[in-house]
Amino acid sequence: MLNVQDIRKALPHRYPFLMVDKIVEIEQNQRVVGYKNVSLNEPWVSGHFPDEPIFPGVLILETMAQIGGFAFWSPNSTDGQLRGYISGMDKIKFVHPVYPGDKLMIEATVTAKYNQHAQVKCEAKVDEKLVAKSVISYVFK
Amino acid sequence: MYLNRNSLKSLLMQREPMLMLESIQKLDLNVLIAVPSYDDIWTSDNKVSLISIVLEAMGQAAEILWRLNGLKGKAYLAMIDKVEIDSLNLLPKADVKIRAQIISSFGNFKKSKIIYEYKEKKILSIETTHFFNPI
Repeated sequence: MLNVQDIRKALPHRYPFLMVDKIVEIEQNQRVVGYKNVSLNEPWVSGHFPDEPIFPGVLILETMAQIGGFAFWSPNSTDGQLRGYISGMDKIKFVHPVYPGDKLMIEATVTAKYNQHAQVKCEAKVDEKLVAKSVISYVFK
Repeated sequence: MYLNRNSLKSLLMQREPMLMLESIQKLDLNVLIAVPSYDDIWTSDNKVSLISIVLEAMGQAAEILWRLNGLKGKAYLAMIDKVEIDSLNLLPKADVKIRAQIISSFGNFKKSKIIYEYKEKKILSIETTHFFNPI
């Protein structure tokens, strides 16, 4: 399990773009499970949308990409940094809206890995209900 | 037809910091060119925009195009596919245009192709499907 301090060491992202609150399971190079608590106290709330805050689909995608990268995290890496860049995305579906107060659970399963390239299949759920899914490719530098 | 940021607010529900278009120019019935504008909180110091924020701008351009063709009600981004990233890590803030084109319509689902161009060169393209709820 990785807490916010571990996550900040691993990822270069910072507020308002750090979308990971906790990593709860890692099977290196196989799968990862983590979550983001979606809050009313976030910068997108005032604009998306003023009368009905809905967590933007593209930020669900960003959350999936950040958590999915932890499938390749190793506690033994020399600098502790995850330097994965998105090289592709596909089959992105937003099935249900996500609201402030929701706990957005992400499960990413590794579907391919070759040298510096990797691909994961992601599912995002709230209260066990599927809200979004995608396939994300990374290149690690 | 040219619309500035204030005019866009009558067509989109998004507001700052999630309103990501500065202006649009409609070329014909099915095509528009949009100029994006990102709030500083979403962009990094080296003037590169984050890909998920760029995707939001592209989705808004597609939504505007459908609204200019008469669609009303709430719009939800339902799907993004056929993502082609031609230039990794090159998502500049300046000298960028978004070209949106209508592809097809199936009931309340509206499909568009959107190209993100830097100095007239394509660096990212996607297809989006929006769901328009007329109620």
